[in-house]
Amino acid sequence: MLDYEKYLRYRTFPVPWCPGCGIGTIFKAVVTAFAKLEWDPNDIAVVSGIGCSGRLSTYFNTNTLHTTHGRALTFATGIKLSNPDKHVVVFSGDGDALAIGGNHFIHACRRNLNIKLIVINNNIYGMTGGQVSPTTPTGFVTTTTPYGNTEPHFDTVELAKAAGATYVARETVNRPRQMLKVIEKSFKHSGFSVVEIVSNCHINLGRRNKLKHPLPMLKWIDENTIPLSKAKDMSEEELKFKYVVGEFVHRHRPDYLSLYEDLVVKKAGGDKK
Amino acid sequence: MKERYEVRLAAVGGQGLITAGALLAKTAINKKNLYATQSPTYTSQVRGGPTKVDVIIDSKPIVFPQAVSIDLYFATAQKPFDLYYRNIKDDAIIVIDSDLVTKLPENDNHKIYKIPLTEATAKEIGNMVVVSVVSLAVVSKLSGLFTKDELREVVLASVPKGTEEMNLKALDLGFNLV
Amino acid sequence: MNNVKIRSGNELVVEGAIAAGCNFFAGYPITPSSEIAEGMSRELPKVHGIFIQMEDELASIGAVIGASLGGKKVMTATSGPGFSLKQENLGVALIAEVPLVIVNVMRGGPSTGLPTRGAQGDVMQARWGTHGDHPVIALAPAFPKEVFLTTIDAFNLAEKFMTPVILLLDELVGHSHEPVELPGPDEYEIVNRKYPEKLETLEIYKREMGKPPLRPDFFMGYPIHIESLEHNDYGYPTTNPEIVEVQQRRRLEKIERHKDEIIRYKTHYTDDAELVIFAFGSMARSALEAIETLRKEGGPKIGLFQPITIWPFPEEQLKKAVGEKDVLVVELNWGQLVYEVERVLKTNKIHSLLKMTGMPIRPDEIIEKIKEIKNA
Repeated sequence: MLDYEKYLRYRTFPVPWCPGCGIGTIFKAVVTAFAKLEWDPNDIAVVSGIGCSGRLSTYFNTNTLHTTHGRALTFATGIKLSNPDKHVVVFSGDGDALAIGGNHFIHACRRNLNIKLIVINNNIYGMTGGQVSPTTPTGFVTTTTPYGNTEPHFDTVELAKAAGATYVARETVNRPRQMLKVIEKSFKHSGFSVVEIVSNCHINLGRRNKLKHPLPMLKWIDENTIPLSKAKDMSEEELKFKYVVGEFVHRHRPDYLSLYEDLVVKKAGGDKK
Repeated sequence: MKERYEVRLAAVGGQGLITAGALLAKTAINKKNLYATQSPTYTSQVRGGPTKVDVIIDSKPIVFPQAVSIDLYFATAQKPFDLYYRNIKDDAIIVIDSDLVTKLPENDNHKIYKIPLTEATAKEIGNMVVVSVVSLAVVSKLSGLFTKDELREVVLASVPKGTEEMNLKALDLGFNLV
Repeated sequence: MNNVKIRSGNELVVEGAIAAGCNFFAGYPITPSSEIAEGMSRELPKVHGIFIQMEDELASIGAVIGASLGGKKVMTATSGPGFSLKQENLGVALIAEVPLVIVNVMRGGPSTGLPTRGAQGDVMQARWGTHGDHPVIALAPAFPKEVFLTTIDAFNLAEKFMTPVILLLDELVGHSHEPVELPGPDEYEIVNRKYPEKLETLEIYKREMGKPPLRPDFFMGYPIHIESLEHNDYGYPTTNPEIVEVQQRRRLEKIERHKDEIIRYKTHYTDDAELVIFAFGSMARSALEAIETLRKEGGPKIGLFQPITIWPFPEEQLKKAVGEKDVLVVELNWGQLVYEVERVLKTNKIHSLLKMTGMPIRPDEIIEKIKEIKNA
């Protein structure tokens, strides 16, 4: 049996999320991935931003840091640069990663430090009461789009790909086994990884859009989920508002630290000290 | 030299006056064992903005590093000349590029040297990069601050490799222009 | 003048930081502080330190907080607009008690203002810029050697009190190139972070009133939690009013109770002075020049109180140096520290010479003001 308990900070329990929230499933998958990879909790830093996803860091019995809205990746950058051989995992929500932290998101992809970003996309600002986010589907009612969302939404995967992330995958909370697989793979990958997990917020998104209980909301996600293999044969029109799941990018290029060491420190003569 | 000597160099960004100021201060410190400060005032316009640099040379440590009572005012463009024409002593020397500073204040009773700095540099050296060294030479000679020999060493230690000859030529030109 | 180097204030911050043992810098270009980032990018790799130019000001301070938690001695540098952007994460370093040095080379504001012109308009922002009640240490050196030593001091105070330290330069101090004899390692002390002797408790914020936390860094073999929310002794979030009060008070008291250790200041000619000027940074230099000129000319005898520590404000030190004498506050803004001086010196006559035009207040302007006071 996997020894996952050492990754749980029981003293801080119970967890704060609403009954039926998908974050619990993601929490379990990450803990399981740690246990499967047998990472020493002391060698892991878990960093999070603000929002429902932001609360995650408190519950891991590792080195943990709860930061400001959108900035988790910047703190993680400092942690990783100062401790290159340690594991740095970042949790961010759709508002956290793609709105207020959008600049950090794209530059972290470009920089390619060996940091593991998990974007929990529940398509809404849940903790603040259900305001529209950059991933809220067009037409959805939120507390700040009472007549329906008119804006197009961001595609986390396409954004990460274009910005240069070296591992990019998407899964949903309905597919825990596949989710664990991509999280584990991203953890093993050397370079900046983005794993987007589509999650359910029946309380603050579903409630206003005829999906007010966990099951209908999860079913709605399921109905809109298309495996990458199937999506390849579908038109852009057919894929509108669909969550294409699978592994999109798995590539290698040198990360900031190895280049810094090889090109900068050596040139400056710092390697001799 | 008097106990304290204040030089203000006014130019537009890109004319190399900050370099000239730095070399003046450096020569005072390294060659004359004096105190010197170099304090620039510039704009965010990297090329063409009015710029000044104040160089203070003193036998005692300098408390405030900006010019308050200028002994030599040197300007190579009209706009900065007008902008920074202040705090100049009655017995100060004013040095201007004769082609680029053409309008002088009425009732100016200072001793004014009009020197074709830019034109001469272009004609004799053919590379405007060294106009800062020409300026340095002009200022040194008119102020009597430094000899050509004192400047030579400082200039050689400061300029990029391969440009030594051109810079020494610039130094000669500056001393001959006056 | 043996061993004399020509350095700008910004260059001296770089050399002071390296001497203090700084081994991590994250920054973003901004006039007039960019030479600090440039210098760090050149010098840090030589000592196997890490330099990174981040995507913005918010990211820069985020990265230095992360690296500080990761065990590094860290610094970031900026100017007005960037200092505004850094305020939110400065709050993280204050509530979570993370040592770091943040340099603000002050320029004319508000907004984009006067990017290339000096000012002293950020002293209140340094005190109250981030929201909520918090303790602050801010230092403002004036002379070249002072810049070097105060930079080292900033690191020492940050590590000792587990807090961000703000180093305020003004443009004139940052950009003037001057001769300076750099002090050798025997002329200054280096303070390194203290760790618990044994890693035995997770209650990393459990300390006597007025003491900074004593805790391991990340990856020292102890799963600590660092929190931007108000937290209990474990660092875990809390809204319990009793615990909130203890944590808030302890953070305030850790500076308040060590003011004497934190406050640095200089007095010049105050003993026989009939009036004392209060000025810091470039304005202390302009004032000193004015004072020395007046004394040389047989004019009125004026003194100078030059605070190097701006926050906490040197209340007792100022009172003692000034006594019952009249005071003239000279600052390059439209009146900020003058309110502090008035608060502290309740019975003295306080004059002020305030200006914010992008140009310094010159010694002759100060002399004129003194004459005006004398003739009034």
